[in-house]
Amino acid sequence: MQDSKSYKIFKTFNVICMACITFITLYPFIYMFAQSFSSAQAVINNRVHFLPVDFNLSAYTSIITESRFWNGYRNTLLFTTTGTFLGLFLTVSLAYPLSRDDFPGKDVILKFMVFTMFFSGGLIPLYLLVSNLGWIDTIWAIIVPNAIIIFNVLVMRTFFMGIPQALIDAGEIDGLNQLQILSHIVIPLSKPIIATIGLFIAVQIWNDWFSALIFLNMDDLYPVTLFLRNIVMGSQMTAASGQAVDSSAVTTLPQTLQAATIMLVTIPILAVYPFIQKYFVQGMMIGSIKG
Amino acid sequence: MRKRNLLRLLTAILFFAVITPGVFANGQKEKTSDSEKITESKAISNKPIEFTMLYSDNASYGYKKDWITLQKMTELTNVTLKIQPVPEADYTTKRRIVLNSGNIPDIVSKTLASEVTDYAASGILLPINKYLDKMPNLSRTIKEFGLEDDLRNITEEDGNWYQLPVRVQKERIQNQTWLYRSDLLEKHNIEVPQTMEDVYTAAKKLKSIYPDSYPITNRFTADNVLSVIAPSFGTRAGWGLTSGGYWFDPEKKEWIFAPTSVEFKNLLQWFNKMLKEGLLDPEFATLDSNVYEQKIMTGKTFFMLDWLGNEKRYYATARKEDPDFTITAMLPPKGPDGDRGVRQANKFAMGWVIPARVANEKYFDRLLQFIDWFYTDDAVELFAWGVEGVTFKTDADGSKHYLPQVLSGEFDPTKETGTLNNVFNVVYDMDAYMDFQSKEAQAAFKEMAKENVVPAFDPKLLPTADEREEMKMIQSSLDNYFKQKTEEFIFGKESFSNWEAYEKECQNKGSAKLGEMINTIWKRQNNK
Repeated sequence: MQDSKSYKIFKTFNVICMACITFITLYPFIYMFAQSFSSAQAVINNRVHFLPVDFNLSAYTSIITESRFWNGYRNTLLFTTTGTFLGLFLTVSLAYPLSRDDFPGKDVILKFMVFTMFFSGGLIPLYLLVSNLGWIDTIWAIIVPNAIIIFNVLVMRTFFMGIPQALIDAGEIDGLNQLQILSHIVIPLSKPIIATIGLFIAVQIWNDWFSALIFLNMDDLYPVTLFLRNIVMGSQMTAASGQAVDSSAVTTLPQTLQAATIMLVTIPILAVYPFIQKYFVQGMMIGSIKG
Repeated sequence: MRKRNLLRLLTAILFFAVITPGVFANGQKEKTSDSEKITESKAISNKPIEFTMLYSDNASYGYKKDWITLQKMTELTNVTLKIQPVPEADYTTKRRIVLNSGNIPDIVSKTLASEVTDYAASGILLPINKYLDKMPNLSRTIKEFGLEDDLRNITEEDGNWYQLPVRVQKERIQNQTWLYRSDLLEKHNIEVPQTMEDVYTAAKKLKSIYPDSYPITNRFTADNVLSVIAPSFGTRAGWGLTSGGYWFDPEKKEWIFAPTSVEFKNLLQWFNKMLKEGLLDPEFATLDSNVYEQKIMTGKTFFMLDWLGNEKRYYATARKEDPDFTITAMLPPKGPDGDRGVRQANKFAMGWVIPARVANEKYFDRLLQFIDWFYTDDAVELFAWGVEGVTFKTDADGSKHYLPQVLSGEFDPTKETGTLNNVFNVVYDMDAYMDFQSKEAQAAFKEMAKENVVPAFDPKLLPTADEREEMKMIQSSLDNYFKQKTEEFIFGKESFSNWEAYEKECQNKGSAKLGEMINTIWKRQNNK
C-alpha cells in the first residue's frame, strides 16, 4: 500500500521530532559518559562534548578503590532485591482482594488508602514511629515504609479487575480456594503488571537516598546513592549560607569523579529496563481466552 | 503442586521477617552492651569508652574509620568515637530530625548557636557555661584567647550559651580575602592595588590586554562579593547584614540601617561602574561554583574574593597549561575613607552542641572530660599538625613544620589522616595555618593583625519571643526589597537618580520601625 503524500510528511516530521526528544534525553548520559573518561583539564577547559578527551580511567580507579563505595553498592543491592520482593508481595496481596466484587468493606479500605496519598503525618512522626519500632539502623526502615505505594496498588487492582470473571468462576467450580485462584490463575495472567510494578519499586528503592539519610546512622549501612549524593552535592550547599569557614569547606570535587560515580550508580538499574520492556508493550490477556 | 509449596514458603518467610525486626537488625543490640560498658568504667583512661557523634561528612575528605588521628586520639584518651557520618549537603536536615526526635548523640558537631536558638529555648541542649568548672582546659582557652566578647554574642536570652567554641583562634583573622594573579600583574607591570580606585585601574589595564576576560568574578551569589567589599566602603552588605539591614557601628556605638546610607550608595556605584565597563563579570550574581573555578583556572579572571588555600587546588590543574600561574593574597584595598575594610570574623568559626540529656547519664563527667581534652595541647597538636613523621616534623629549635609532600599538596593530610578537619580541629594553631601560606600571604596576615582591621561580629540582640516574631515579619519583606534593589542598582536597571524613592520605600517597608525596636531592645539589654 502506498502512503499518501501528507502521511509521508507527517511521518518525516514525526521521526525528526522523536529524534530530537531522544537526543535531549540521551545527551546528558553521553556527556557524563564522556566526562567520566576524560582528564580533569579537558573538562575544565570545556573541551568535552561527545567523546572523551585525553582518555583516562583515573576517575574510575579512584572510585573503585574506595571501600565505602563497594560497601554502599552491596547495601543497595540488598535493599533493592529484598525491598522489591517484599513490595511486590504486599502490593499483590492488597490489590487482589480489592479487585474482587465479593470482598466486603472494599470501598472503605480504598478510601482510607487514597486518603494517605494526599495526607501524611510528616517527617518527624514518621521518624518517631520507625524509631519506636526499633528499626533505626536496620534494613526495615528502608524497605517497609515504602513497600506499599498506593498508586501501584491502584494500577495493579485495575489490572486484576480486567481478568474475566469467567476464569475465576471456572477455577472456583473446579474446587480452587482463594489462595489457589490467586497463585494459579491471577498471578500467571498478570506477569506484565507484576514485572512493571516490580521495576517501579526497584527503581524507587535504588534511587532512594532520603530514607537512608533519615533512618540510618551508621555508614556501614548506607546505600551507594548516599555516597553519590555526597560526592555530587557535597560542596554545592556548604558555602551558600556564608558560613564557610575555610577553603576546605568550599572545595569542589573534580567533575570527572562526579561523572564516573553517576555512571557507576545509574548503569546497573538502567540495564534492567531492556529485560522488562517487553512486558510494557505486551497485551495483557495473550494466551488466556481466545476468540 | 510444587509452585504452591514455594509460595507458602515465601509467605512464611516474609511474614516471619516482618514481625521479627531483630533478624536483620544491625546496630541496636551492640548499643545496649556499649552503654553497659560505659557504666562500668570509672575514669576516662581506665577502660575504653565510646561516645557517639553526629558528624558532617565533607566529600572532599570523606570520613574514614581508620584515620590515624582518630586512632591516636583513642590511644591518648581511651575513648572511641562512634561516628554517624551524614553527607554535608543534608546535614541540616538530619540534624533537625535528630534534635526534634530527642534521639541525640552525645556530641552534635558543626552546629552554630544561631542555628539552634529555638532548641536552646526548649531546653534540650546543655548550657555549656554552667559546667565550665569541670572543663579546665576550655576555661583556660577562653581566658588566654580572649573569647569573652564572642561568647557574649552567642549568649541566649536566659544568660546561658549552648555552643562549644570550635575552630578557636587566638587572633581575629579573616581568611576569606582578596586574592590576585600575581604572575600576570608582575608580567604587565601593574602594581598591587592599594585602594578601590587602584583595583579599578588595574582591572581596566588587564581588560585591555585580555579583552575576553572579566577581571573580577564571584560565586555563591552577590551576597558573597558584597559582604567582602562593603567594609572597604565603611558599610555592610550581603552576608554582612543579618538584622534586616541594620549593623552595629562599634565606633558610633549605634545600630545603623545600611541600605540607604551614603556609604552603601558609593559601594553600589562602584559595582555599577565595574559592571558597565566590563570589569565585573555580568554573571557574578549567579555563577555556579564549578564554572567559577573554571574561569579562574583558564585565566579568564584575575581578582578573587576567595578563601585562602583554594589557590593550591587551582595550581594542580592550571599549572599544566600555564606553569607560571600564581595566585597570592593581598591586603584588602582601602576604601574612599582611607580605611581597609575586612569582613567580620569570629574568634571561633564553628561549634558543637551537646544534648541536655547527657547530664543524667552516668558517663556525664567523662564526656565533659573528653570534650575538655580537645582544648589541650595534645589535641591541638594532633588535629592541627597531625602525627609526627606522617604529616609534620619538629625542627631543632622546637618549631613544627609540615612535611614537604604535605605542603606541596601531593599528600592531603585531611583526606588521608583526618587532621585539619573542620569537625575535630577544635583549637586552631596559627603557626600551623601560617606554615601553609606563601610569604606574601603571611605578610598580609601580619599586617592585618597589626592594623587590627578585622572587626568582630555585631553584638547579639536579645528580643523576646514576641519581638522576634514581629522583627522577622518586617525583616523578610525589607530584606527582599533592598536585596532586589541592590542588584537592580548594580545592573543599572534602576537609576541612581531614583535613590530617594528607594529610601522612601525602605521606610514604607518598616525600616524605621525596625530601627526603633532594635534600639529599644539594645538599650534594655545593656541596662540589665
